[in-house]
Amino acid sequence: MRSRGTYYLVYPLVIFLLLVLLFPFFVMISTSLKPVKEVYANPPHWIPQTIHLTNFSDIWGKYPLGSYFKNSFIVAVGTTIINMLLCIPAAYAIARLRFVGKNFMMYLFLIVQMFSPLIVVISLFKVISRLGLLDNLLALILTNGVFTLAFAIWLLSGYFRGIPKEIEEAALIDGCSRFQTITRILLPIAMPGVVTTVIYTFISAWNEFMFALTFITSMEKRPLTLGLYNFIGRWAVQWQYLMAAAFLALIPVVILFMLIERELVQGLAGGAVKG
Amino acid sequence: MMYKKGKIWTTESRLAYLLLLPAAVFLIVFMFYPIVFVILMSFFKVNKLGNLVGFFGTGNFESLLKLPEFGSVIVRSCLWTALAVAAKTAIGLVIALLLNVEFKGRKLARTLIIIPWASSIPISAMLWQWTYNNDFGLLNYTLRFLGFNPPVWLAFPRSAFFANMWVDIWCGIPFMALVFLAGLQAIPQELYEAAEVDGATSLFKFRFVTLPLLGGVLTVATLLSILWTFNDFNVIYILTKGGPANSTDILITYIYKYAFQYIKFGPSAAMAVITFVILMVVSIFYARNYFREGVQ
Amino acid sequence: MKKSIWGIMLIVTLVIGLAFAAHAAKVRVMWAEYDGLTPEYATNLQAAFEKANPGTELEIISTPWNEFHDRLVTFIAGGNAPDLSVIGTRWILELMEMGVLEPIEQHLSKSLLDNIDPALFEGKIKGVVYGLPVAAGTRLMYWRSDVLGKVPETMQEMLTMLQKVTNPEKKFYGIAMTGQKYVELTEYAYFLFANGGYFFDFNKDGSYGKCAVNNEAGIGALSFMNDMVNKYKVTQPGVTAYKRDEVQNLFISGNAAIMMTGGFGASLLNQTKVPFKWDVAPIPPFEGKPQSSLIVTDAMVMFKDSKVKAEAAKFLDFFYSDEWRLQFDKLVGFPPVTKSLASNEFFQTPVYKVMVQQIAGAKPWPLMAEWPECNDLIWDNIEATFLGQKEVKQAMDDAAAAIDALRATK
Repeated sequence: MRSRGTYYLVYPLVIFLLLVLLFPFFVMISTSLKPVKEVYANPPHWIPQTIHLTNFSDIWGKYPLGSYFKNSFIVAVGTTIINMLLCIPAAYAIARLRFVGKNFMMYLFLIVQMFSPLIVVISLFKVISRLGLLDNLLALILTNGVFTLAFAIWLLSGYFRGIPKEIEEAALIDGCSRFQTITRILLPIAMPGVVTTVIYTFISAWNEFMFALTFITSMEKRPLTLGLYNFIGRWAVQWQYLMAAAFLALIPVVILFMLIERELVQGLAGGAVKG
Repeated sequence: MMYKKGKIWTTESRLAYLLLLPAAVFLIVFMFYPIVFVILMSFFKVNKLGNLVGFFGTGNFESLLKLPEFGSVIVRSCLWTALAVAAKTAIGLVIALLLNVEFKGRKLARTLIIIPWASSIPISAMLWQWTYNNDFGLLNYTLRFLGFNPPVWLAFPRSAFFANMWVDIWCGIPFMALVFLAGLQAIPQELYEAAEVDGATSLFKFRFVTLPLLGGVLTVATLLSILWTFNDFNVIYILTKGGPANSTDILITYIYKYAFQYIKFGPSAAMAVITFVILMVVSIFYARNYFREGVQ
Repeated sequence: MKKSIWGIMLIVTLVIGLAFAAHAAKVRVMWAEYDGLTPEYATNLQAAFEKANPGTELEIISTPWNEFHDRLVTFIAGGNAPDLSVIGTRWILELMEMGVLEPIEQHLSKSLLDNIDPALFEGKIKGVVYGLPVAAGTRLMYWRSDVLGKVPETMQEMLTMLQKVTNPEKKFYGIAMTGQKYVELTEYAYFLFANGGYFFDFNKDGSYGKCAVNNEAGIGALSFMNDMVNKYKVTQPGVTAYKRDEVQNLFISGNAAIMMTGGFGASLLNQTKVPFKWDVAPIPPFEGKPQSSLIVTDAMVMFKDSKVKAEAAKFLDFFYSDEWRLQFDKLVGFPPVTKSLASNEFFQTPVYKVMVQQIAGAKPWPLMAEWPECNDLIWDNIEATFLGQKEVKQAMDDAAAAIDALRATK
């Protein structure tokens, strides 16, 4: 897959796909830089005639975006931690150990995903309010954890399963404990899968909207997704503000991705299994 | 590594249950009541407060079957899911294969590809609503500039259906691409090299090395995507609310309408159970091979 | 293994038990985020109220309008209704059917009740006030005075004028019209009411009779709309894709001669400092029919399970004082609901005057629990006519039959 001839195919294809996929983000950036008058110019302009950075300062000044960011961050990190603590052992058990009822367990996890949050939200609201967690970010961490856990277990066990188990077995025979084989051998090899799962969990929690709307009642505990709804009104959408805020909301996710992206291409490809 | 048939409490299975316990308990604490309650509601008369007031047998289901459009809503949901998942998988796979090739700027491309996923689905749907707008949206403006004559996308049944579907696909591509990419990274390079020694073509390598080894991840990702897509509510709710003239209504938007607009929790729970049955059947059928491999 | 499961279940039970412990007394208000209403308003109101009433806490559950109904339903069905909530008055019957509403009238001070414009008590059910008006506005016609020259007096005259000014090549449309299925059926209501019609017949006792959208007025209104869309093409293309805000944008951008919407349209036009001349007028009637607009009110309701009804009433007294109401009304762009502010100079502009002037002849949404379903049935059939899938008469007959069948099974 690495012959030099493929370059001639790769670049045009990658650029084409990027253009198609990122098209709305050009729209987003363009709109976020327009003064309100130009937002409603018909025909529209691709490049704003006057670059209007005040949209960003307006929203930052008028709305507590800083605390929205902080709340989203707490929720996303909290969800990711809980999720990884629970899903790594479970995925290991499913991928590596033999026990009765494995398929049953897998379907049990999956069932959670078959009911849309929409249909269980009222019952979940009852559970959360009985636990005394209304208007508490912990409610979001826990519910997001519930709704990402099944995916995470399935995904991760899929990756674990793709790794030859001989290496671990050799380590076990050499006297490593189970815990050591997981942390020192399996996880480093499965890093691309672990990173994918982390990204999946983080992004799901960062972007979750319905639970935030349902469980968070005070302004200052709002995560970003709910905060963005400040700009979507009953009568009008403040597009220039919505786009500016949505653009800012992308940045942490993209930074996170850039930070751990390198891990995606290591693991097996990095040569851990050679020999 | 001793394993005797019929014996549940081997040391190995004991360890397995121990490792699964925290996750299982966590899910049960939060989801046991909501899921059981939905299933109960579907067989009961439910008042406007969501309380069960009397056994109703299959009454809720029958009331749905009486709706003239219900059959077409189910068919549309399945069509929506099948087409969207197929497209996400295909495009995701192409992107993953491309990004698996080493080229200059790969890191940047990989970061950029992730961006559609980095924005939440309601906001993405709003963004697309703005992009699709016939007057101020840059999509039709650009298409006209390029000499096309685009329709007002959300105004007509067929174009609205596909415009909605594209947004769902667009939101789902980065996830697919990333999952496949991680799967590709886990394929030992030696296998390709061995195939090359045997003089294999690229297509041959893809068919007989990449696909089989990606199989597990491919199955999991598409299965999860099926569940996601079938229940994708936000895109349609924001773009067309099921219109024009019911042409973009799928089961999940119906569930929403019945539960939150008409406050008819019984039929809405019945639809949730129908969704559950459809997805369960698909999952069991679909994941059969996956389990067969896994259990051996 | 078994022991640990029991242990966990015990802990869970304990946590659940603890959560039942009583909360401190406070008034919880589900608060709507109106366009124009800043987050600071709610914060300031809360601080001021708590300062004036030591010992009473106020929790403002600020909620985006588009998600308001869903959130309220979740809170109520989830067994955690607030003490007070803003609602669209048309939801009142649905809430009464749930059995959660407290007749608010008995808790309100006489001075507060007397200060409300009596024409706005839409939330009065069988003589008892359940909903205290929060905001009320009639819908009006915005028109380009630089393009049209004069106000159209009737719908027919409007159509003739629009045919002259419509110029699709230059992207100039006669009337910007909503056609997407939205939470409300407003566009059809404008034309139906202007044609002297209503959604339902009335029985002698004042209750709703059969669905009347397929009578002469109903069919006439829809035929007229269809002619504008498909025959004379004086609307923007692709009407079935347009939401209210998109229609407003079309008028703001100077691409339409007329739009019909609420008072907030004026705020938007002023904010964007549009370069053209515009004016407002009452929605014109059809020839020989009385002028009639749609009036939409929002109301404050109290919940039966509230343990702090007296304190909640105190909050309403506070909120309905001139100081806070004036700020509120100014921000949200509705004319005042209180008599004491009616003559305030801020509300003497043409927009407010037209809105107030229309109140007498205006009609509200039907107050019935199953209205959301009826609303959808009518909408779907209207869209079918726009798309050419159904004839107007057929569509309205279908809608009326389905609605009558729906209400008969109740």
